[in-house]
Amino acid sequence: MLNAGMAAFSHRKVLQGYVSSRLQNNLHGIVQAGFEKNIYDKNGYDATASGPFAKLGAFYMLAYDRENTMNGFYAGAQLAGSFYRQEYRAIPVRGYAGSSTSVAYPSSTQSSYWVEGIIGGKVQLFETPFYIDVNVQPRYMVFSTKQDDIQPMIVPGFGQSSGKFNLGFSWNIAYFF
Amino acid sequence: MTHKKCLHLKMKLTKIFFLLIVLLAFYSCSSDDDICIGGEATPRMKIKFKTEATGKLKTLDSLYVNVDYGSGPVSVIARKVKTDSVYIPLRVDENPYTEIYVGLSKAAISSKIKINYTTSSQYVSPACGVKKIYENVNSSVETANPVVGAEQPQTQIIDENKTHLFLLF
Repeated sequence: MLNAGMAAFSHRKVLQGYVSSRLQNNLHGIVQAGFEKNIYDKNGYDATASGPFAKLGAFYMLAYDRENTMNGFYAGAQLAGSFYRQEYRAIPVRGYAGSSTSVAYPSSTQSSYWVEGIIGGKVQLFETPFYIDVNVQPRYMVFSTKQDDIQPMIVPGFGQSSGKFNLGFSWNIAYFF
Repeated sequence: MTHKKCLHLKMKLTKIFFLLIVLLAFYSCSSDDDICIGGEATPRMKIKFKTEATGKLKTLDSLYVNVDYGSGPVSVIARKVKTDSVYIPLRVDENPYTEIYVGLSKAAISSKIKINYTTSSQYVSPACGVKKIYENVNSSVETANPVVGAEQPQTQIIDENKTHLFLLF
């Protein structure tokens, strides 16, 4: 099954696709790759990050249609990694009475690794080989390389969060062959 | 499994699935990016007071401090109660000094003290960003009365524990 998704929200530009294939019975393997460019511009920050990411995992069909076993709900897990170029043009220095300023850091190359769950559903579009696929991905950051100990605010493929936890949501059109 | 049973299980799973999504959505809203809790950010300058004649610590009956952060003096401290120490935030920009104005009444905030220093930057956290650390701090009284002198027991400001400056009255 081939799947491609694209998102072009205000700042976030993502291009990604995944291929999943039945391993046995209800277990499917999944390989995902993409490229993301994102901007973090709030609370005095001005940062950009862009780079490719890849995910590898498996999901299990929890409940499915008897007539078409590709229709149904699934849950699974993935290991993910991202290699990206980041530039923090401004990190705030919080001052008194609105006298805040910022410090700029040169651009650098970093990488991050995380695990993510995947919970979603697939429904065939009428009698075509196309499917609509909706899923959420709770993500947990395991390890990030850092520049001068700066906690990354954006990681391609992971999203916009300085915390360890993040939630992704996506809907895609999939093609079955 | 009968068809009816299977359908029932499917409904149940669907419900669990949507509940999970809602719960996750709520959980993901909690973010600690926005609020910088005090003490982690740029340290303020701790000031205490002494009587010039005796060199003993002094408690003031009232105190007014204005600070120029680059766009004219703004009021930072305005107290009509007994005060033995104050914390003054210094400038965080590239300026190599901060000018503060001190007085004992609102009508006469007349002493000007210039605090010279060099700064360096240190990353703290996502919410607090970067903090400034002040080194080679030295203060001079540019305009006397009521403050007549200054003592600098600490030449660097890296935290708010020690007294960085004594103002002599």
